Amino acid sequence: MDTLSAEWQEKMAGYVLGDLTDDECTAFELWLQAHPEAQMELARLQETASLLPYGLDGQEKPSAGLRGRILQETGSPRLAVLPRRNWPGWVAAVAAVAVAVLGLDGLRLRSDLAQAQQEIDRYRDVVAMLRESNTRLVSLKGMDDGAAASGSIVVTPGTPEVVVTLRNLPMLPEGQIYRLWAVVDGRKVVVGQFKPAEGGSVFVKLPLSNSLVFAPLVVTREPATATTASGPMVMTSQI
Amino acid sequence: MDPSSDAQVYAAIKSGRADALGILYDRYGTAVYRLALRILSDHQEAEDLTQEVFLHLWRKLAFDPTRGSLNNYLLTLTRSRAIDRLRSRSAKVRSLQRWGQELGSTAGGSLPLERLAQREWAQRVRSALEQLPDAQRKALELAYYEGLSQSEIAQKLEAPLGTIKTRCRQGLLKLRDLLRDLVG
Repeated sequence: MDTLSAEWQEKMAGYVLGDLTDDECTAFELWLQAHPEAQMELARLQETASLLPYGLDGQEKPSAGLRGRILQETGSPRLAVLPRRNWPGWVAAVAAVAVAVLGLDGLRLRSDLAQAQQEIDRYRDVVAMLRESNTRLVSLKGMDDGAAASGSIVVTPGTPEVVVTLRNLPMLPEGQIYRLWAVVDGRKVVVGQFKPAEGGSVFVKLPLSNSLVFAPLVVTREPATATTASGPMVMTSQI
Repeated sequence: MDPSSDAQVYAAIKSGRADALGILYDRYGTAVYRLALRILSDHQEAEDLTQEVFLHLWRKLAFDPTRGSLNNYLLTLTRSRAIDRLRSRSAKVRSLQRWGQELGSTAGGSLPLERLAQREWAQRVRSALEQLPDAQRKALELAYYEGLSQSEIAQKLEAPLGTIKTRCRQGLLKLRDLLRDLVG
């Protein structure tokens, strides 16, 4: 901060370094209270100090198993206090969507068991995803033209794909598609595109970078030839 | 493609998603471990402390993204606990260092450094450290990694206390100037 005198800058560095006497420290804290604008500069110095370890020589890394041990330890204490995700409810919701998409009513099963079996096989890996303890469900809600649409995205961090299950999406005119985007720093990053089947249902797997799994998601309607998001938003996630 | 910001991932941790902790471990685990190893000089203890730090982040939910970067939070916590361990080893009581003490600073939001890959941070920090006079760098590193008081550093380097204080302070201020585009 240019307006800070050299004397106070040095005091501030001393404060971050912990080398002020008790009296100096008290005086500095009083001065800081009277100069809230200097807190930003103090934060910069603290950030600077915490970058020092990046200057260390050597390439030591923790053992490969440490990550897993840490995640394993997260299992109970806090989750026991916080409300746990409502597994039965949302698993049932996915199942309901899947059933709706597949049209797995008894009649169809009876009439075309082989085809149903084939479709069930398609969902076997989804079931495997649902069994993963860190799998979560991102709900998508329709808006504007797609207000009647609903659905969800099954995300399992560590796996390269997400499963999108939607229903009641408006059917598209020729030459148009739906695109799923992750919104990162206000920019839309394309995840993939799809067209709904009859009845407006969608069941697709799309690649999603692990670094994007917590970004808000939106669905837009686009000309098939468009390369950027230009069409109207029809669904958004409710994270 | 920009990854989710630390603040976004931390929000996921607060909602109970352990997988988000994995993402932050992937970002900062090595830095935390290497700082712990530098201070403690023991692989097993450094891993234990790394685990302790990430579980603290998970269980206490004490990080406030409006008060500074996650890097600052994790490495300040790591350093403070590593030096506590050093002290309990030697059973020697010293006055607490104030590095990165908790204070209502207002860095706010994600820092520019989040936009760079960590290997780039390392290059930038090394290059900045090389530009410090040797005496400043050495004094600064002794204070940061050894947890020594300024008077202990003065003894070790056989220099007057006032000189050591000036070296450390000027070293830190110069480093801030050299890394200004990273720390906001």
